[in-house]
Amino acid sequence: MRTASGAVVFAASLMVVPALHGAGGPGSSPRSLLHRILQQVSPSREAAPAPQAVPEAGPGGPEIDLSALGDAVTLERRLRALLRESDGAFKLNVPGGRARQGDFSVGSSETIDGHLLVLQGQVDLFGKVTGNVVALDGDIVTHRGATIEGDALALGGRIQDRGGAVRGEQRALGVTTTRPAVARGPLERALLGTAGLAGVLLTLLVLGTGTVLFARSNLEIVSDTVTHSFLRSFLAGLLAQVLVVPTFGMLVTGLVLSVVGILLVPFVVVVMPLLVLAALVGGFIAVAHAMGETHVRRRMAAGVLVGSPNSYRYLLTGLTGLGAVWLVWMLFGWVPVAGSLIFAAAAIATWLLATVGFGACLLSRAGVQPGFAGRYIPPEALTDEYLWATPQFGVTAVKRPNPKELRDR
Amino acid sequence: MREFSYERGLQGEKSLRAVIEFAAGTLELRSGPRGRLYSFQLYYDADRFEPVGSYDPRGAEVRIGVSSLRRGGVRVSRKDALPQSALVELSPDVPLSLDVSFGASDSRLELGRLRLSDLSLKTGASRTEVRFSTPARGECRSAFVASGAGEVEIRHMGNSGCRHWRFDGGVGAVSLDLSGEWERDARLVMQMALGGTTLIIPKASKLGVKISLSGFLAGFEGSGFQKRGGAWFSPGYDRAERKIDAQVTGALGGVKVEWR
Repeated sequence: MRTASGAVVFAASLMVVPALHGAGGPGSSPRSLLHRILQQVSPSREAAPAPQAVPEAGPGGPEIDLSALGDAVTLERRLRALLRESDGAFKLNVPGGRARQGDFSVGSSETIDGHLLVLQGQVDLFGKVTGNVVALDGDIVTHRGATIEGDALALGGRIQDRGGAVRGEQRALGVTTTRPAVARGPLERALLGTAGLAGVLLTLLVLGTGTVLFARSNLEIVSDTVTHSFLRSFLAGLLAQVLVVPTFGMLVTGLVLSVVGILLVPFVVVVMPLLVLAALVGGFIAVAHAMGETHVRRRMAAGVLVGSPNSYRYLLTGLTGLGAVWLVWMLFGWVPVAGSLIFAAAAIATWLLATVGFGACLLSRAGVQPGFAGRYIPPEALTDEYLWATPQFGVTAVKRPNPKELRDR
Repeated sequence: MREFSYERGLQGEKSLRAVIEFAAGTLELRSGPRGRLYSFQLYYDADRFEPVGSYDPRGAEVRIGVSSLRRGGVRVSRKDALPQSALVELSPDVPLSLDVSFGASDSRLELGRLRLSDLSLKTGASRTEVRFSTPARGECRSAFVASGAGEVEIRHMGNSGCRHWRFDGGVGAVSLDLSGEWERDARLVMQMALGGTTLIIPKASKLGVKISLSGFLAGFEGSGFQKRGGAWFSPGYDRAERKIDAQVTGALGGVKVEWR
């Protein structure tokens, strides 16, 4: 398609060029027009200029000083900018030197006084250059017998030593090589994102399963704290987020100042971040448990038959719900504007729930204190032991009826 | 990524001061071929860093390395996103004053064959290995090593020819191999914070080592060392041909001796 469209443009230009030739102005010559057309047809193709001297730009024109080559990156940037702005007819002032375009060679009996700048071409030196030599997008080749009295700088090329001599410094800034950017479509991005999300949820599920297995009561207390003290947990978590770093700093400072406490500093430095992380992850799992439990119990209350309503089911249900929030972003995040809004909503929701979980973990002391868990009935009342306990007072013991009394009745 | 090379031939210079600043990547430094004053080959991330290369003929000082641009930083998203590497070769023909600073890099310095007059090595979060595989040819006055959070390993210190060594350690570990040909006695002054120091002493050597410890919780693990008057002495210290006097000041970091 590109070749065909280019051919059409080229053919059209052949008809247009003669008409434009008489329009006047230096920029509209057939050569410059053809140059522009060719650039449009194959924008990535570098136009190799024919060897030619670069005319001087005159007073006030663009100028390049080649006396100091220390900042090669800036010099290259300046040269490329001048070439881009030149629009075909390139002119340049080189104080104390000369500029050329295209390949250039210096014969064995020749001497170039001053600096030499060669643009978009290779420099083959067999003779002598008394100043510095700079090549842009070309190599500098110093053959046997060649001498550069100053420095040599190859921008987008190399310096090839084939027996020549460079009295000063040699610098070469190679061509930029970049890995081709892998363009991914929305479907591929969505699939990758979904896979990543599944990995995260699976990890949380494994951690949650372990928590249910080994610390179910703690998890349930934290979960109940989330359910019954949601706002309090959020405020506690918010405050904790603000205070965790200053608290850590104060703790370390206090230990250091106590002198004896210095021994504990390495322990605190390692353990406290781990505890904070555990509280965050544990709290998040508890939030998922609470969400799942609420959802399952409501379904059961509505009469739906739910098989094995236990903590494992609550956890799975809750994590699925949390994952659904991010799944929407995975699927539609590529949509302009809406994608960003969906991401913001998912991020805020996740942060909010994580804060609640963190606060609930702190309030319940990692599931040890049920004070905010909404458990108003004492634990012992939740068992049926009371049915078997002998009343200590208030109830008269029943006696076996006397047969004589029965006969009298 | 982009390639940068920078070199200069030897043209009668009597000495060289090399200042090397390498922000991130891997760096290898070694002695170069005769006739070349210095050579620098760099492969760098052109989006985030720029090459440094300049020479001041008045002071015979060369500055080479890579510095970060305004958007500087380390790409930590992918392991292969920061493949910066550099090779520095310095002339073995002239006395060399070497000043090296690393940021986050993995560096290997082979300083054997160089005519080292003094050395300054500053590392950040780096892993640095300094070797003197062959005896240095110069007369090294002093060597200073400052390690931040990185590891520093110095091998065959005896070949360095440096009489005075000073170490300022942070949280990183320092490992000093005292093997090599010690031409004269030497003094090591070490100020360590949290990082520990390991001294590797060759078993079959005529080297006597004295370690003086000071510091709140600086501990010492030295099998075979004897304590005399507040300092620890290696076996046969009084009869040793060459003596190393190590003064260690540490907060939490201690000194450990290994015999190899």
